[in-house]
Amino acid sequence: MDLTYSHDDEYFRVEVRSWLEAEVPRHGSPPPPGDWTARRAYDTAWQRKLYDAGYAGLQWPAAFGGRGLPATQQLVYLEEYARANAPYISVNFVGMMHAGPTLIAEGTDEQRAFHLPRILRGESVWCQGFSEPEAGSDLASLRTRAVRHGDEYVVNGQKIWSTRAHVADYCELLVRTDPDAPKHKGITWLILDMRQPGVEVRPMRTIDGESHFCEVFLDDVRVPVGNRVGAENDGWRVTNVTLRFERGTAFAQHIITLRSQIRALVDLAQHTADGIGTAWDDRALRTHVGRLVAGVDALWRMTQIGIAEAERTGMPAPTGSAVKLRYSELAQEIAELTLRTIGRPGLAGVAGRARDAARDYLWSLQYTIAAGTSQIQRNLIAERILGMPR
Amino acid sequence: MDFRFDEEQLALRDAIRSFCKAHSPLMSVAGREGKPAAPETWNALADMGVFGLLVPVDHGGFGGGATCAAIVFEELGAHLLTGPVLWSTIAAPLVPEVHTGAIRVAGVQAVARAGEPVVIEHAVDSDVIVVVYDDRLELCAAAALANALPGEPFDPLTPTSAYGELPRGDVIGGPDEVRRLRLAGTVLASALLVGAARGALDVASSYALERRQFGVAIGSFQAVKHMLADMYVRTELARSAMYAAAAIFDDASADERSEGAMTRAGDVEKAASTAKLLAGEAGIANGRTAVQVLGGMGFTWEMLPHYFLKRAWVLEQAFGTGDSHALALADALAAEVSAR
Repeated sequence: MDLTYSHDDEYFRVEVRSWLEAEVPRHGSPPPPGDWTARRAYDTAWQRKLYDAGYAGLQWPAAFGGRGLPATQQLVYLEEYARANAPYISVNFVGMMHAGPTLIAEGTDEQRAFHLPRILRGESVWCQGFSEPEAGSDLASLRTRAVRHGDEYVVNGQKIWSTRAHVADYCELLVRTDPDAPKHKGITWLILDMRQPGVEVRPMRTIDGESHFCEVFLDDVRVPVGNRVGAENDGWRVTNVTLRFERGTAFAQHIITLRSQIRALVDLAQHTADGIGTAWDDRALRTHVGRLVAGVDALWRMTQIGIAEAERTGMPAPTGSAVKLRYSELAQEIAELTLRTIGRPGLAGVAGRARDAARDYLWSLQYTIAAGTSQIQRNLIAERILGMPR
Repeated sequence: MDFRFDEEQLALRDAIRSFCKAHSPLMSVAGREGKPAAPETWNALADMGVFGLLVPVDHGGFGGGATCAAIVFEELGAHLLTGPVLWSTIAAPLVPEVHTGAIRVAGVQAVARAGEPVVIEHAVDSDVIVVVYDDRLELCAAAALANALPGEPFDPLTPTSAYGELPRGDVIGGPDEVRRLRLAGTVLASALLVGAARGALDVASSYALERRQFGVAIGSFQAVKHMLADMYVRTELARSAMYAAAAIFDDASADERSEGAMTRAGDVEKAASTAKLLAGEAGIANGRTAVQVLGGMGFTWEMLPHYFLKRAWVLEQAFGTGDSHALALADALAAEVSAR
């Protein structure tokens, strides 16, 4: 066991750091929350800069336009990315972390040739069309129907929880193609062009007052058969390729940002007056923060181990559910402790730290729900790892 | 960077696992209550090189370093091995004849407040006691201890007694040795705790698969599954932190030998604190959850959960409690934040 980075890794770190130090300030601040058109422009322009500098798709194979870097250099990159406080991946998340890797694994040559370069260059934005009003944790019970007519599928149904669908060009869409087969065996994975008649996107207002998520209504939408990824009725297997990405490496960048959130909390406590001293003098707060520091550090180690394991075996590590579960809880704890430290100014949403803390806290409640609730993750761990009966 | 165990390390783990199954089977744990480690077990541990894990090869030791020691101690923890194995292993580089198995070592941190009793694990089944002061290590004969205060050990597998005062001993190390011994103790106590957490999970999982109520195995109920899943997560998180700390400890030791080069893998003090804090949480919470999963049977002396829980408490109180490590981590981070 050797936890040191090699000289090549450290050389790469120097290169990444100097590029980020120059480019991050130049890219400016993100637009105000709620302006999704501006956010898309901001995020895709940043993706283009990453692409031009050779930092887009570090983990993608070189044959598909990525750099095929070893896992250690991806970790170095993520560490530096967080250190530089570089823009969150945001609208590029589904394309870079889900759709792209799925097409690399399961797509046709035509699909790859068309979509992968556009994703890498920030020219196309993807969303996910998985969940439905009646198919949440029980995703395989989805009912959005696709009927084949010649070389097209005609799709009718409703999707929900599609993150940033209002600014998406394409959707990774799961549909039912065989209603008579067992539920896992009648699902097909389609590439849906969002800009066409019959696709209606309605943003949903969530408890933080924002609209990150959308409902997507599909009314006689036509999808060419050439947009099918994998075989007809084999979509559940294709989906699991995607979900495994969601539970594995995709969380790495989130975890590393928890470190900077804890630092911000410490800084806040040190500058929040309390009696004759500051909030940081409170031993209970310091103990709590120390536990969060340890939790995040161990989670990062677990992620490093998982990524190294995935690289060796070609399969995501079995600890993915554990990482997702613990990440969600830690993120919520940090957000809650930050709001507590802010105190009453949080109630008035005083512009600046107080308003951010209130929003972050409310937003954090989705962590234990999205991408597989904590309850589902616990079921998965108990059944798949510990062998409990279903 | 490579997180895998190499073939030698895997062989070591298999060997120590077989050893534990033969010499310290969980099914006969009640027979080892209140007793010192059997001489044949102790000698076999010495023959396997366990006490020499931190002793360099040119001093007659095994020289495996902290990573190998952590692999061994995780197994010892999972099998509730008895005897002063932890202190003997970390003191072996400083006290002659320990790595051969001839001398058993207990140890204790000198208490800060006068009048407070000194609590020592294994004082009654050891030959010598290492006393840790902030600036020095002292070694005294166990026989030099005054009579123990009346009491009974919390953990039936860890003879523990309290003393009104400590005898003076011979100085065997200065601040550097104190630091190194504390770090090694923190990492290996974490390894024992990770093992105990895993052992408690194994007991609870097996029971959940066997025990039937309402016509089905209780492991099919989500309420039980979720308790087991949390046990697993705590164990894996603590294990990741613990092996990282062990590897960083070895890396730092190599740097010390090459005269003070900066360690590249991470800060050894922070890594050790992280490991101990999470391992302590995992050990105690898993012991407690195992009691709950076994229900009424879990509350009996006859079943295994209480042994894991009690052992976890002993180790939580050794080499810094979770809270003390949490404060250390918070203070270190605050210093970094202020310096920016």
